[in-house]
Amino acid sequence: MTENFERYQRQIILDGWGAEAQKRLKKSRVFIAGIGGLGCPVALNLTLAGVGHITICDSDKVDVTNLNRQFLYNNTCIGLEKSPTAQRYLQRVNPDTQVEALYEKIRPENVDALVADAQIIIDCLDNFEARYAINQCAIRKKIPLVHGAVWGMEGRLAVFHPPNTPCLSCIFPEAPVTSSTPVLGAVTSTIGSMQAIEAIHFLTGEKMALKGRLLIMDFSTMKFQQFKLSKKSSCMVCGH
Amino acid sequence: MARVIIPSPLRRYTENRREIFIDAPDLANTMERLFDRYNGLCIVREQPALLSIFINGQLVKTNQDEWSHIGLEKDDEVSLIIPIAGG
Ligand SMILES: [Zn+2]
Repeated sequence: MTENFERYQRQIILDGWGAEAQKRLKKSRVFIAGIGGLGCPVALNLTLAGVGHITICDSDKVDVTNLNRQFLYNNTCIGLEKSPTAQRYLQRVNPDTQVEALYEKIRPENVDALVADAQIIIDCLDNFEARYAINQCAIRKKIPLVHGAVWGMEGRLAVFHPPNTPCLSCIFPEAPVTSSTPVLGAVTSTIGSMQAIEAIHFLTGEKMALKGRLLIMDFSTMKFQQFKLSKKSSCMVCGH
Repeated sequence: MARVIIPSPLRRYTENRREIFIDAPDLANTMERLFDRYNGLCIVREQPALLSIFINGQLVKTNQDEWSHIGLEKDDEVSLIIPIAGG
């Protein structure tokens, strides 16, 4: 173990991990789409774990109504751009991780350049327009997409990596009506942390448990259920 | 008697019920009775692309007009899934 890895000693002793997995994380590049309720726990956990390079992309500014769940911000951040604000926080948490902040709206025409050479995309967005854009980008770049979503006490998690799995559009070809979503910090923190775990599995060379599967977690009853997903041959995005 | 699982965003139309038991011989009848009982759920009938149905964890791939061929037995679990956008 090198001296630089001392802060990771407690994860290096994980079964099947070792310094080799830590070196893989150090060389990794991750794109986090959205640094809100899901993006905050994803970014914090990947930073703590020692991922080498994280890009956080969001076009929002901090609003007081974000503060029940978006723990990288506080009252003094209201009105500031989220991504550079989160970047400053994360760099203090772990200077080993290089955090790049993009204050950009994700669109079909700019998404490939924004994602650049990331190895994986973490979907922490709050709208389907941008979710569809990163889905198509992940397919073009042949990289996995770790999808997370919440509505009230319900959380969703899935990993899409065509052609071996369906894509987001196979499962959700039509976007829901946009409305103000009820949301609890404990729910977004849990889902975001689980997205980070799946990303870490991939980056350290392990299998992602939710590849081609959708996990639905109902936190009002604590009932969790997995669904095996199927490709849709008529899918407008990944179908033939 | 199938058990229909309602996703969180639709529970406002089912008196906040997560599970609804419906006694019907097939998927078509089950959905009809569900829509009759809870009129607000008709929003997913009007936009069928929003709705995915899983029976005992397996995706129903057939079109709506063939649902009468999908028989349901006691203890079958019918999960309704719609997209949610929040993040
Ligand atoms: Zn597809």
